[in-house]
Amino acid sequence: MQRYILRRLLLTIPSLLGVTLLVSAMVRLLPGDAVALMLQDYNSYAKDAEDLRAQLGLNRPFHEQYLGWIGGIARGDLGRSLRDQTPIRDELATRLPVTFELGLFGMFVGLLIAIPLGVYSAVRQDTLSDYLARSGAIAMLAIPGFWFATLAITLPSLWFRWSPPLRYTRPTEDLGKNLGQMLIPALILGIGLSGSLMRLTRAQMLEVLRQDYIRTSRAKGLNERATIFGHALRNAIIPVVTLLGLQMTVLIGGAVVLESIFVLPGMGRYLLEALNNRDYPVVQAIVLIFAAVIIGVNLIIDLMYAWLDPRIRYS
Amino acid sequence: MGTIPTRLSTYCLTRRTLVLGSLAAFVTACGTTEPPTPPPAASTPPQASAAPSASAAPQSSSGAQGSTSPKPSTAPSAAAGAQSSVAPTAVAKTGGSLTIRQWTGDPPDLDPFLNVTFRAQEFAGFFYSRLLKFDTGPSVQPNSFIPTPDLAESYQISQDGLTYTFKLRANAKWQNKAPLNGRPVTADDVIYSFERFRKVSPQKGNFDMVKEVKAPDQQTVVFTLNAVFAPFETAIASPLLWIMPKEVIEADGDARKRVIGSGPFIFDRFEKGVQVVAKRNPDYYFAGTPYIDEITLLVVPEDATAVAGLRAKSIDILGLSSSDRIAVAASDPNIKLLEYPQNQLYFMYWRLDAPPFNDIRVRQAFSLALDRDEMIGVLWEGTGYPNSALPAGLRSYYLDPRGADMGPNAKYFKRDVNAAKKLLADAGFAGGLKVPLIASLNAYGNTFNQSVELVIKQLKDAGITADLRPQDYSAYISSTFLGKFEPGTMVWGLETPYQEPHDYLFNMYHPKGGRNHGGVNDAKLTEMIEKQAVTLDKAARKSQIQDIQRYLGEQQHYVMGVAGNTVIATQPWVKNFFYETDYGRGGEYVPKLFLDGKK
Repeated sequence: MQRYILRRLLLTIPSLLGVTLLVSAMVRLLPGDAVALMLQDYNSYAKDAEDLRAQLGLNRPFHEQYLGWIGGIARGDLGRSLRDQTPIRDELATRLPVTFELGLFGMFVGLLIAIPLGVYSAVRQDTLSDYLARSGAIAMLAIPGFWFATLAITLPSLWFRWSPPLRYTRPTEDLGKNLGQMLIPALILGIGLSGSLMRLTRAQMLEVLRQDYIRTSRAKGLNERATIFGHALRNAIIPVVTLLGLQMTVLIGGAVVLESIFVLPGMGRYLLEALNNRDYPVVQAIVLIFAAVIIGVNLIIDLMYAWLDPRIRYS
Repeated sequence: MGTIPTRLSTYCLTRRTLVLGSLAAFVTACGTTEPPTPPPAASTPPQASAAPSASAAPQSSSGAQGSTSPKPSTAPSAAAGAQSSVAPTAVAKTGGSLTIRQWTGDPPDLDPFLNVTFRAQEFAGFFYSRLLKFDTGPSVQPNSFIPTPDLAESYQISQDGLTYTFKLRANAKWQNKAPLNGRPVTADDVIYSFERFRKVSPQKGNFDMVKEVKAPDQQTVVFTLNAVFAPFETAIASPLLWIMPKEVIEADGDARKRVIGSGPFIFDRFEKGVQVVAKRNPDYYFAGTPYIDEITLLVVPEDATAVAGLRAKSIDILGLSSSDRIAVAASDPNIKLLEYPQNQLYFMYWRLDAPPFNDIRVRQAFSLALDRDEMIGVLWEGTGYPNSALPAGLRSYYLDPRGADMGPNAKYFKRDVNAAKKLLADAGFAGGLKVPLIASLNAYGNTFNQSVELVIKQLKDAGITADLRPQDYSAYISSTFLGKFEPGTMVWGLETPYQEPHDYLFNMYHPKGGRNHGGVNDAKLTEMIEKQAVTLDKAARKSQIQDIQRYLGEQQHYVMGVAGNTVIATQPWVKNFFYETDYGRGGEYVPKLFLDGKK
């Protein structure tokens, strides 16, 4: 087990290096650069551009810029933003918890909707409830989060002259207020996540419910609740957990949009602004963090298999 | 569609008459007391105010905060009734808190010299002073950009136009925070700030015209120019040359960590991605102002969120898009809307050194093919203005391109498809013309994108087929906008908004201009642009600038579209709302605001 974990951790290094190299190159392939955008923001004269590029080190060859940044990473320094020269590490320290909380909350909501609904739908296969649940899941998959979010912002303001708070409150300041602020975006994020999870849960449950050991448990007289939740669900859940790991990218993509709409100062907004501003070091740093989180979560999920299914062994 | 009639405030005229009578060569323009409308609760000594004359140098200007001449000689139409829609109440009230949706993203830097983005300058406007700023008041329409004394109590221009002498306010103090601790603002502070600006600012080129700056005494700063530069007052008033705290910068290396200025508000905190919070500066040199105790500058990325906040009364002041304006006006009748002509140029450009656009007849044909009335109807709900070489928003110098003053070249701004076809035929394109059209469709919003569709449709009627080639904004701004595109291609774009006609004319039409997108190199035009830049007599300069617009009306180096109105929404309790659009407006209109009836 320890060797497995060590091997997986070592494998993350080339993965992360590959991701950063790819992103660093691709973001520079985008037309324009930070300086062109900064100068356009203001009534500046074009002759200032080269001065600014030199100040920011953007006139150096790509490999120098990349190696310099990677060297910083090795020393624990994520670099500085081109646009405001602030240390990216400081910025991430305040923004990461916001996205983490939203993601966790959204995931919780998603599971809370998907698992019971998937199980219920499987148990009541081909009934009206099943059709409704499946239709609901399709709708959750089909309706984009930004549409839900825009409605959630606009309609209450028109009907009740109410809008979600425009100032983010940290949990350390007022936990209740913070959770209240996170509730609507987390619901929207969770609803978006739950469609595919619900469908997979249902499909897996249907398969498991037809297995011999389920028939045996029922024949033994085990009550239905214990059969479903004690035997069927536990065996059906492994692919769902795998999908949950893969859905991390959906969570991150959703956070980018929802943080903007609900004025949450998280990583998603930071990434969006950095991309718009061609702030290369920030984009690289955020992608590095996201890649590390995705790899880390999937590693944890892989390790959970053994707990969910004792037959699984790591070598 | 509105017209832009001439208007001068009565008060201004009265003052000007009196001063002219008594001062002969030293002509001063109208002045004010502070504040311009309701007197503040705390008394403010009325001070004479003056501004550069309409006729002679040397000129002097002095004044307290408030309206200062020269007044704009043109004002917006009733349709753009602007400041009158938010008439002042009788008594200014102090206290309360105000929330403005200020930005869609964070100000990237708290040191305005180290970053060129507008957000950094907008931030600075609330906390730092300038020698001059732009005037606001009930008789001053937004986009007037009238330089008026700020930290400088008065200023004088030498006979030869090469020396500007600024007298600082005796009561100007730094905010009462260590290490400044409320010490007086001196001429050394101005010189320190100017030298630092020239050393560190990426915008240092904006003051290339300055030869030297000296301080004969602690209340006097003298700028000597290399050559006469008529828009120098505007350059000084522009939100660039902030007076920065020497002690802080020497201790910290920059002004990123600590914000201590001499402006109307004291910095309290900046929560990234959320808000900037500021408190009233009780020692502000315009005594009695600001009226509001606390202001919050919100960072709200999405318009829909901000509009919801306005409806929920969480936001007091908000800029609206055209579509949101209609929605808000329909659903929220209590919200006040300030509308004024945009200082924006939608325009068509191309390389002038290659066919077919090196032929004046082709350019004129393109202008004749545009239906500007349809543009105003479709894009701006029927309220808009045709732009000449200057935008309608720059009302002091703007010449209605279809008005009588434009002369015979007005015809090029009126749609005439047959005339366009004839000109094209004369130029050798009897069978029509097909040209690639570059436009950036991911930068300027829906109205701009609709304008692209409209242009394509209108050109088609005249036998011109525009083959749209959308371009990503970053690519556009770093290549096409700088004139790097294939000859024979046309571009539909949006110009950077400036506060001075010189900036539009020099940048866009002078061979050395930074925004000379089409490579304009017209000797006659160059001479005209250089001449207005050295003409200190404001009336004469205005006449020259209008001559340039007439000349460009014929030349059509670039073909101009139309401008609509900008809309600012305020809650009904926001009083004394006299807006200005420059990035330093935080120190211009906000100190004069007060709240009445906010719960």
